[in-house]
Order: sequence, then C-alpha cells, then structure tokens
Amino acid sequence: MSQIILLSSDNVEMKVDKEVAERSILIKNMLEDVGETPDQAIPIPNVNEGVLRKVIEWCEHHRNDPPPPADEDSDSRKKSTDIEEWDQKFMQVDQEMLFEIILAANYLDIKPLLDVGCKTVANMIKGKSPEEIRKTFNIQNDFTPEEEDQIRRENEWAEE
Amino acid sequence: MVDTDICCTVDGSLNSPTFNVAILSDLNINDSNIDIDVDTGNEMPLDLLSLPDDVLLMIMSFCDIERLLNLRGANSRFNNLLCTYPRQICDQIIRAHFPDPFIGHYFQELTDFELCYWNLQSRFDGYDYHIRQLKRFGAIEGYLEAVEEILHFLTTKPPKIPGQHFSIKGLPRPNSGTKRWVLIYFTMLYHHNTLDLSFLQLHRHWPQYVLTPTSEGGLRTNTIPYIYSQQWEDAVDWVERVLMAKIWRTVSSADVNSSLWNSPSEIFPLLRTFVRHTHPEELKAVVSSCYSLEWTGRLDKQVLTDFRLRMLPFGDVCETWTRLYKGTIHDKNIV
Repeated sequence: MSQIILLSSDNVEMKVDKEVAERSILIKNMLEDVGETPDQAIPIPNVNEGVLRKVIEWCEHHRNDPPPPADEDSDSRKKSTDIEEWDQKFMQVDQEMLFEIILAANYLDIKPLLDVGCKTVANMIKGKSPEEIRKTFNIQNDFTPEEEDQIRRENEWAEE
Repeated sequence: MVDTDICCTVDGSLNSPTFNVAILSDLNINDSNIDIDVDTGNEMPLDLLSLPDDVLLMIMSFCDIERLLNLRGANSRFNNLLCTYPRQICDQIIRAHFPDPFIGHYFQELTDFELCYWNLQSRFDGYDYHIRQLKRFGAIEGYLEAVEEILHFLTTKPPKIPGQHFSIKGLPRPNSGTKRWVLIYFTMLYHHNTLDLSFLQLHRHWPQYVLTPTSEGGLRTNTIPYIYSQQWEDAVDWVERVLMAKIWRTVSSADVNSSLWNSPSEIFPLLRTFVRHTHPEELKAVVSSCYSLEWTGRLDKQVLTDFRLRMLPFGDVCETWTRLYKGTIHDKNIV
C-alpha cells in the first residue's frame, strides 16, 4: 500500500497510508491534482504534531467508513447524541485539544470528524445555563445589563 | 500589568518574534489602554470563541432550542449568530433588491433591463456564503422565500403555482398599474421592521410627502399626479385586505397545522397589519386565545417553540406579542 508523508506545522514528518490520509478531502484533492504519490512531504501548516497525530489516529480507525451523505443537513447528521462509543472516548481530551481537532478537521475538510467534534461541544452545552456555559468554556459575559434583560425576556417568550 | 484577555504572543517556533497585531486591530481599541503580554512559550490557548463563525454555527446546528437560547445568553457572539446576524443579512438582501423606495424610477415604467436587475438571479448576490450558513436554522429561509414570492409576483415571470401568491378567492388582484405600489408597500414593510404605526399611517398618504432634490441642492415637493396617489391607496387597500383575511383566517380559526406558524416571512407583515387594524381589546382577546391552554394544547409543542425560535431575529414582534399577551400594551397608534 502506498504511503505519503505529512509535515506538521512544527516540522515533524509522519508517514501515513494514502488511503488514510485521503479521509481528508483537502489532501485527497491535492493528491489528485498532483496526479501521482509525491515523494516529498506534504506540508500541513495549520496543524501541529500533537493534533495531526490525533487526526491521523481518527482517520486510521475510520479508514473503511463509507463516505458521508451528500446532504450535509440530513436529519441523521443533526442528532447530537449520536456519537459512536469509540469517538466519544477519542474526544475525551482537554478543551484546547478538542478545539484544535475541530479546527484541524475544518481545515483538512474531514466532515465526519468535524461533526463528531461539534457534537461533542454541543453535548457539553446540554443542560447548562448561560452562566454555566460561560464557566465551562471560560467565556466572558459581554452583555450590558439591559441587553441581558432583553435576551432573558425574549428567551422567556420562546420557552414559555 | 498582564491582561489575559488581550495579549500578543511571540511564536516560539520562529527565530524572529512575530507579534499577532491583528488581534489588536480587530478589537478597535485605543492601543494606549492595552498592555502587551509577551509570552515566549506557546500561543494563547484556544477557547470556544476562537473558533470561526462557520464552526460555531455547525456546533449550534447540533443544539436543541434550549441549548441555543442558553448559548445566546452566554455571549454576544452566539446571540449575533442566532439573531442579530440573520436579521442584518435579511435587511441587507432586501435593501440590495429594493435600494430606496423614494427614488424617481419607481414612478416610471420599468425597462427590460430593470426587470432583469430585479429578477431572481440577483437576489443572493454577495450573500451566498452567509445564506448557506444561516439556512441551517431556517431563520431566514422563509424571509427569503417571501422576497422571492413578491419578486415573482411583480416581475413578468409566471408564478410558481398560477394564481397562488397572495390572492384569496373573492378578493381582486391588483391591476398592473398598482403592482409597483404594492412593491413599494412591501419594501417599506421590510425596511422598517418596527411596529411604529405612525410611520405607516404617514406613508399611507406617502405620495403627498415625497420630496425630490433640486439642482440647487434643496428639496421640493414632488408633483405626483393624483392617479398615482389613487393607485397607492388601491395597492395599500388590496394588500391589507388580503393580509388581513389571511391572518384572520389563521388566527381566528386557530389552524394549528398552518405552516404560517413556522414562517416568519409570512407572519411578520401579517402581524403588523393585523395589529394595525384591530382594536386593542379585540386584539388582546385574539392573542390571549392563541395563548390559551386550550389552543396551545392543540398546537404541537415543537411547532410552537420552533416558530418562536425562528421569530427571535424579529425581536420587536416578539416583544409586541409578549406585551399583548401580558395586557400591557396601550399604544394609541394601534387604532
């Protein structure tokens, strides 16, 4: 099986099966454009070694998965609790790594991994009040008291 | 002093230090108030708000209503993505199509070129990306459909379903002369998303008030033939009758299966007209009946909350409904 070399942003080379790397649509398109398996390392400038290893680990595990449905808004995609057990464990990382994986999946165009990352964050939000969300994600409350009051009123309207 | 929220980092992987000044310029803050934290280690840790809008929208698309509402209350970024941003995009799209109702060419026959310009192909110019993202919530989909519907109606293109549109059996359709006024009327409805009814009252007789620039840089009253004024009145009457019939039919019959409840684009102008033409007491009774246990009990809970969520970008309408519901509205302009 042919292999390619990926070069992380911190200049670490990683050998990967072409089939695994092609889970990334970005890399797949790049390889198709080149036309043959390149000898040189493919630079992945936005992803560091640690994150790239995690992404490759995910791609290895899912190398035989069928391609995602073309309809990106399909109902099955929207079920936030629908995360495979292996993926759930895979995503048990600290928040910074989780967001790095999401960004890498977005950059490398790996939709199923991006979905898993986003679903994980969505699940972390579940059952939390605005204040709890702020605490969980270390988010600043940037509303004025008047704006907060307005949002509270509108939310009450939506929820009542 | 070290400011952990606003800091510049030095990328340790490079020999030459690189300050990320973009962070400062984006914030548009007076530099003299900012202390720079030179971190010789790693970059500033990522947090949720470091993610780009399209990723945040994707996360939000996996959230149910409760989570969305709590998110919007947590930080303005989510609120903007959920409410403010769709509203602004809608307004921009509408302005792109109906730049200014108070310009001369509305009083002339439309040329083929103008018809082409107003045609549907131009309606998403420059907004493809935003619309694709925002459609995830369906927040503006209905709104855009309404614009499309109006454009269909007003251009030479045949309607998708002949005779559908805003016509209701027994009510006259406007003649070709009044169509332009219908366009202007809708333009105003969409431009001025408020329930400032005095504005509508003024512009019910709008042609008398139009001022046009003079060559000396001043303004003069436009001398519009009476016939236009009459057409304006006809158009207003026609639109109002149709909309009134539509909303009365829906609200009074409490047709819980009506798609109207899921469509801000329809309910928004209808609500305005409805409010405008109904005595406060009567209005209160109707709205209260819509909130009654009997009525909401028959309405699928999901449909109701979905409708309300979709209405959030149109907060002024929500506010009015709330005020009506709580019986605190006493606006003389309503009647």
